[in-house]
Amino acid sequence: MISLHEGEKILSVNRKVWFAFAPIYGSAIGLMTMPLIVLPSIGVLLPISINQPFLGVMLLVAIFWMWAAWIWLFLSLLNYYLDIFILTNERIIHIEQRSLFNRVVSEIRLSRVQDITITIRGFLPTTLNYGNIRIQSAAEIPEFVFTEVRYPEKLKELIMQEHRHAVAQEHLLSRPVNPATK
Amino acid sequence: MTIGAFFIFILFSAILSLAAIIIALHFWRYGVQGDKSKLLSMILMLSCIVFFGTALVIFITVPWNLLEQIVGGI
Repeated sequence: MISLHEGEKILSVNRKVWFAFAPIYGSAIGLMTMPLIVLPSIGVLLPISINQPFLGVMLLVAIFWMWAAWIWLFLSLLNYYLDIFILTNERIIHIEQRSLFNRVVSEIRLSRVQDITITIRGFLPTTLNYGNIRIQSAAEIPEFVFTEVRYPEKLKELIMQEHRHAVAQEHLLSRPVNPATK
Repeated sequence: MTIGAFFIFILFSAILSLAAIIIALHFWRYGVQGDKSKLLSMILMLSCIVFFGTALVIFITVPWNLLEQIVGGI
């Protein structure tokens, strides 16, 4: 779980658009259903294979095949589902799950955000309203890029709004206290 | 034949179970508050139990001695 600071609230959790994962999902379903086609075909071509012990061995191989495809589906789902772009009222957190043992977590304070660029390019992104968002900052990490995010314009507006709040709050805190008001 | 088949069965089951446990742990640890990562982790573990149970039942029902006779005959 993401550890939040005191008073920090998650405003938006964004993942890549679901059809970025659709080809993998389709492939995994195809791989899992493959034994349902292959086993009867073998039975037709080699009638001896529908008798024991060959049938049992083939079923065992089919179960291991389906199990491996299922694991592969979840491994791919892990890479998709744990790629997250989180906006809180204090910072932006970008988590990139590159592979099972390769994870990059970076964050910037909202007050350090300088520019935000969104790119919606192509027929599908335009009709289905998804695109890339690039955030430039004054921090050590010069820019964040999050690809294939849903409703990038809304997200940009939300970030800009929270950026204005964060800057106003920082100004308020850094302003010297007037001794006359004490 | 039976010992060899049992060894292969255990090896495959162990590899796939270990992979499932590692993936489930990732979902469990790295989810965000309020998302479905814990549910996915549970689905993966429960489905792996079902896969293992099915594989075990099939393994037990295979007449390995008969297979040994046939293969030995060839």
